Amino acid sequence: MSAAVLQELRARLGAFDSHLTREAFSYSRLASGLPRGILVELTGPGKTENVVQFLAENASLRAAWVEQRFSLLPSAFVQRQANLEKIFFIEGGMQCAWAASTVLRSQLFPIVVYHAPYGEERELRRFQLLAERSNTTMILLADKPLEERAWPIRLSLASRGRELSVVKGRAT
Amino acid sequence: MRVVCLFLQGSALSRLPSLAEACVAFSPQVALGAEAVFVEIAASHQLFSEQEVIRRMRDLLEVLDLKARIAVANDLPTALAFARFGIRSRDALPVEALGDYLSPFSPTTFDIAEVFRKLGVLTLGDFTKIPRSEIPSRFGKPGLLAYERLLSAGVVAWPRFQPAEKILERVDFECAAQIETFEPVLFLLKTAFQRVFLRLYARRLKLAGFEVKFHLNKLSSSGKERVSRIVLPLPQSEPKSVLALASERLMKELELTPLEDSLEGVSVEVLDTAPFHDAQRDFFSRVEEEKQAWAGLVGRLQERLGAQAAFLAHPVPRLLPEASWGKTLDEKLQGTLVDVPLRPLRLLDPPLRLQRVGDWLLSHSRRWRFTAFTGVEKLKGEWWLGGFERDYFRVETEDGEALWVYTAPVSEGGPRGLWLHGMFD
Repeated sequence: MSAAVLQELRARLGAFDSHLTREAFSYSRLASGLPRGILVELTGPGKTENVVQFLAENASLRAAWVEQRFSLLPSAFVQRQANLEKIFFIEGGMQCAWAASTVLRSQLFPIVVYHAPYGEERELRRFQLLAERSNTTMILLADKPLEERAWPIRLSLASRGRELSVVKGRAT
Repeated sequence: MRVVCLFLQGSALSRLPSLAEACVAFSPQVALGAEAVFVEIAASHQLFSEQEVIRRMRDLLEVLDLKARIAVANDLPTALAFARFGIRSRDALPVEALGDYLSPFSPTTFDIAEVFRKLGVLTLGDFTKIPRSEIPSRFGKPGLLAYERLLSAGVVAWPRFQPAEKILERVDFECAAQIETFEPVLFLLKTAFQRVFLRLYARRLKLAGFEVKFHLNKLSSSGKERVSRIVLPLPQSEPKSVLALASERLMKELELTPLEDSLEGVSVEVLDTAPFHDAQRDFFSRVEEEKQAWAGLVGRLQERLGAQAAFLAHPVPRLLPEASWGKTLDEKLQGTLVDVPLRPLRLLDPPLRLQRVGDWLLSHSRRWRFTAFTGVEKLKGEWWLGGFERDYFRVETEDGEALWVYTAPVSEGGPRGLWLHGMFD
């Protein structure tokens, strides 16, 4: 392969990559921030603390928080400087996936936090499409990262206390 | 003065008040006649051009499923006569149109029209050419009155139109139908809601609660109506989101208890409303659209998941951790937070009983090996609500988790129990 062809190929790949570069929400614990319009998986101890810290740093943004069984203490959010007026809580029970899809479809929330079992490929794909369309960052909370059928999840982060590390994908 | 006349005929006449109410959206000066609705549009020319008003009125008639003749003139009786006779020149109107000049709000036949014809006066143009001094001798008192009214047609007192307090719209099938799927009902509901929202919009109101009635076949043995009442968590101003919410509820109800007989029609009656201050859309702001989307979303979620399942939260000044917050839907409600040490983000309800064995904490399903046990934060009080007494500790585990546990007396004089109350997850 000649150098010129290689050069052109690189230029084309660069152009392709530039479409994938997304705007991101700033987050002090992740240098590149959290990109918009993707699924982000956040696992490990300290995951909720990390999300609330992220919400506190982006206090002007509206967020929806979908829980299968509500176990949050909202007054503790205020202690961490999160803007409680902007966080819409939903206890979805067995219909969490429907609730999350409805919230994404409304295009009212740039951030959606989802704390319920997930892993079905079709469901994740649906979330991915809706998140892309509404330019919403959907944060999936779980104890362990999903290993199989996780391709719609673009960024997987592991939390350990205040530390955040990238397990899979890239932040931009 | 410019007056638009919407002239109805036949069975549509019963829906004149609905049409008049929806027309209030164009101008506050609306009058209701026996056969027509009159709207004065000159005063609102800054908002709508004449063509724009007529275009919108045509759209309105389509939504209301009404057929009307529309005419515009400089005064009310002429607009009515134009609409009735389909003629657009006052001089070319037949002498029968003098009835509209004599009594524009209630129909009268002009009795002496035949006399006029015999005397060769066929149109209003012919009539106005006759010198005023000759009118009494040729046509008597009624002729003179008609002449005066014709010349001073612009000076007509407008009776003030006051919309009826009740907003009720009924849509029927062409013939009673046996309902097997929800789709045909949805079509009826859509039309009914569109009409209801047109009327609400004109009154600058939002829908807060309504009642849907299924009108069964008149010969039905099981009763003639089925009623469903729906209260919206947030008032709404768009039919689309209300229709989605109503369909979900009604579909569920019809699945559980299908209609016993064929359906004649559906009616929607407004039970509760809220003021709609921002009815005039701001092209430079999406706030109102977002409010509407927000109300629709809350309505749908609460309808499907329950009234307590979708909410905003606010802090409540109470020491008891589980009682330190409340649910609301009011974005502006700012609670007060008690100054207490940092609380965990997750709270178990009910707390989980633990046993401490060496450096292990055991529950019925899990165990944690702890590395640090820090505290104590003593909480005691609220005796007026039954009272509580707890000593809270923060426990660090070897897996990096942080637990929030407390000890509390199990019973009077007994050992203190250990409970897992939350997690700094």
